[in-house]
Amino acid sequence: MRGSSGSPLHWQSATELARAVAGRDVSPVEVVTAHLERIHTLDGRLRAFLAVFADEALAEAKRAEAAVMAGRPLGLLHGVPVAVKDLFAVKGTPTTGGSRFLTTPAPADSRVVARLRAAGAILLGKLNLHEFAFGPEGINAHHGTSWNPWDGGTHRMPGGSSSGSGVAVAAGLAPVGMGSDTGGSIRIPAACCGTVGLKPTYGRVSRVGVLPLSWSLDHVGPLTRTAADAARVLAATAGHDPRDPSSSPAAVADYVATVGRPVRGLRVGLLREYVDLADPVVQGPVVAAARELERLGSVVREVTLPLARFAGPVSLAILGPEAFAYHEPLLRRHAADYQPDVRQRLAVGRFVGATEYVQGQRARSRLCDEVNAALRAVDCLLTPTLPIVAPPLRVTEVRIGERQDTPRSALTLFTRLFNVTGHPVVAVPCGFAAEGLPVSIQLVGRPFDEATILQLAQAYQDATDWHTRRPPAAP
Amino acid sequence: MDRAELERLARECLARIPMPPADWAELVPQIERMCAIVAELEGFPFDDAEPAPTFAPDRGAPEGAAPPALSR
Repeated sequence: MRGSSGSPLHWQSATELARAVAGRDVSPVEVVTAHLERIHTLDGRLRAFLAVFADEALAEAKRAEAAVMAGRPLGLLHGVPVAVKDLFAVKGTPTTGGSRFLTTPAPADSRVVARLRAAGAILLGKLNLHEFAFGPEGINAHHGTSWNPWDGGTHRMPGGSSSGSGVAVAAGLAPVGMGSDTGGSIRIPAACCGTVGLKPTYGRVSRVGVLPLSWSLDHVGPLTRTAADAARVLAATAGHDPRDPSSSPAAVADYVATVGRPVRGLRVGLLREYVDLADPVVQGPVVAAARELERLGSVVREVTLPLARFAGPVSLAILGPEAFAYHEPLLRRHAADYQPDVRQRLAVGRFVGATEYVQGQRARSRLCDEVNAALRAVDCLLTPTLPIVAPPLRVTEVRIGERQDTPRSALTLFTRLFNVTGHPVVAVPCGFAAEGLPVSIQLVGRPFDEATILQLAQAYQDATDWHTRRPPAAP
Repeated sequence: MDRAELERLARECLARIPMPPADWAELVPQIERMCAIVAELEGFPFDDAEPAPTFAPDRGAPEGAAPPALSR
């Protein structure tokens, strides 16, 4: 089935699908059917989904079709299929967190799912993840680890923790996959799988009904194939929620209207420390992306963040005890049911002292001030998302230039700073390394200024074709 | 602290959690690594920084950082 733009429905963006549905060029039933068929064909190997709501999605698509034909007002995502990480509550189904032992059906939708539905989105199912969102590799020992579609022969890390979200979007199983991000868990799978990933400002999108990992660092946001789609999903999901203590009352911009604006004159700060720390296969495409933004009329200059080197210790001092505090009651009853790496990482959090936790929170304020100070001189920061490309699943060490590191440490090297500070970040594909694996940049904005980074990201995507390439394991 | 002492302490702290016996050999080195990383905070220039009781990322942000927009 092809849409009016000529490409198969499963490769159309959420924006294209919403417009086609509203214009009666295609029925929501056709859109949902095309995606369910794609899931049926490919997901046996890819393992992006933990649950598929085929009957419910088709029933919802029929209602959506009736609304179009009746001329009712349509939401931003009317008739658009979406899927959510299995950390988001969906009424009547268990929120497993990727585990085997959380099986109680949720009494209500999470706030994000409710807002997606209110915007007309149709829920296809729930997506795989690193168990309890606690790992950047994207491993799930219970349900099988999602297959990174950019390598048909070797099982490479899909990136985590929102592994299923990255794979589903990259493979054309869904145009939108919702994820969560505590140390990079939206941006890491986006980078490994060659998609866009938006971590909004801390407090921008409600976390009510999403299983927590670290209250101080958790964010939720979308993975999509285009920045315009991320803007559309953010417009549908952002806003104050009095039930979320971290939720901000800050005004919500019209992201859909601003995403197409020209970027001439916008000032971009290339974060030299992070570029220098990346492997050469990453450095080249990242610097080329900065040059492309310059060609589009932006002004690129180098910036430094001397305190950024403390992001790891600060993140660990906060994340460890908060994750352990949430999971301790579950660990007492189900320790043996956790996958071993997650159980051990959680247990390690028990050994961060109260003083270290407070020092982490103090340092967080200073890091935030430093990033804000840099953003007085520029409109956004540009960094690599990862220092490497997606490693094979079984490796225990990766090479970054001449250095060796663990996959976990390497994958979060450039992402966790912005969980600590809460700044909005969008990860965007910016090329491919020699093995055909995606490379990605992060654009970091001022607090609550997602509009500017999405504007830059979309302008970059309009000028390049990285996001239009299709992975070999999901042609 | 040597490894045996650290493992004794770890077992005491996690006494209420039925950790599988096979975990201990991996857990103790992980605790050591975590302690070493967190100890890097000793070199952090805290100055007069306070932990913000209600953290907001726009604290100290440029004036007008949030664009004029529609309220929800």
